[in-house]
Amino acid sequence: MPAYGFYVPKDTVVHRLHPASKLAVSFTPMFLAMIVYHDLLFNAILFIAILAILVLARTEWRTIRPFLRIMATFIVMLSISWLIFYNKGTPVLSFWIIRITDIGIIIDITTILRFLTLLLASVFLMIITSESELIQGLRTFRVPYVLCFILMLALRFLPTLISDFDMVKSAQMSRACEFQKGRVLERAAKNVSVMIPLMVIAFNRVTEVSNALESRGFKVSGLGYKRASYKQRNLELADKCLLVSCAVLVVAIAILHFYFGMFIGVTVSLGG
Amino acid sequence: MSSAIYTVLGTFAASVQIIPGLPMFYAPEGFIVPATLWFGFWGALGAFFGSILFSPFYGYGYTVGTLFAIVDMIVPLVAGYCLRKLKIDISLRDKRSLAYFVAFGCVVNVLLEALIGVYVSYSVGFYTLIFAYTYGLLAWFVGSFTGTLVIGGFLLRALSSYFIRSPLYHESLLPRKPETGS
Repeated sequence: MPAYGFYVPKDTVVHRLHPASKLAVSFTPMFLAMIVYHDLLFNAILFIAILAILVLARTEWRTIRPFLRIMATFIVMLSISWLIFYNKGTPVLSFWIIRITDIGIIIDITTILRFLTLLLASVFLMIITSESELIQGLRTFRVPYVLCFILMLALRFLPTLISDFDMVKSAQMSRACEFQKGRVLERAAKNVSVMIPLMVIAFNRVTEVSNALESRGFKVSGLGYKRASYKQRNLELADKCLLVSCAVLVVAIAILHFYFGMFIGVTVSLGG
Repeated sequence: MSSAIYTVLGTFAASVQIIPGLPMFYAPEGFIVPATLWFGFWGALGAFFGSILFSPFYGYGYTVGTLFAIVDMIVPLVAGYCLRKLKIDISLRDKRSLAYFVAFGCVVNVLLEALIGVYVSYSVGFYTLIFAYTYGLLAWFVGSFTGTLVIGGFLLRALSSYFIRSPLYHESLLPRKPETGS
């Protein structure tokens, strides 16, 4: 079970950025990958760019390895979907009812690169941003404080809840509960023996937190209240330039793609 | 709390995927339906944040995760709305409540979510249209239905009486405006 806390403080150019800039750098390739679907070259460049950013952030191989392992199964299924279930184009290989076409192969590779970009950009965000920075970044983009607070609480609760989950599961296993044995429904029913104590524990924690917040007179922003941060970081000129560049890049690519028909990809030009 | 639990369960469910993004047994959905019946809209919101948080563990990023997060809210919201309107006993002690729970808490809402969800999967480029509406739809429905029926049913029966007494319990789906003194 991977823990959610992947953030490692380092002294790199990327780590020194303002939280809002970190969010922008992470989300720009994600937005671009969402805008341009089937252009192999564009997605390959985007993939190389995200790899370069990961190198710049001095990302260790062991950090991204679990995600790439998840991606490996994902790639197999994506390939089954696109290679077998997509029949447009010239057949490259055909046997029985399966017909693998050139367009299917191109789309498959493009889709894999796209999803690798999306995944690695998300991992990049997890690696370079701490919980408090994430909230600060979101607040810079004027995300309502209530939503930021819910997200922050969820992130804070995660490590505790994961350890609670492990503890309860181990306790049930010591009582001879075998989670890996039995049919799907039986295994599902066994999970209930973990979830009931887990929920009671989590609920008790929530009650404690809400009582603590109430006793400190906590109120969310709005209704005449404006919340301030203990550590306030202002946007520097470099951050502002970076934010504007990211916005311009996304808008420019979107206009070029949707209005001028650029980056359509080889699939469409081949008639797929 | 519901976001955190949803994330933890979703991350564990990611290890038993049959099709990318579609686990064989989707436990978080089984948790979020009772959570919505207990905590109202705030419980359902857990599905949204939880889905975004665990999206990298399913192999897709936060942007695609946000789309699925919106889809994941269909199950608890439809179940919460319908079951509250039908005024069922959330402890599922009688046959009528159980039947309505299966119909609107496990089948209708999950089917609706699966239909929209596989379309989202197709539109973001996960699958081809044929694959999405055959294997994708079936896998999504089976995974979510099993999770909701088994986990949700058990949780409602076992914990409803406990949560009804708590100060966080909501009788309606949407939070009511606090009563103001005259």
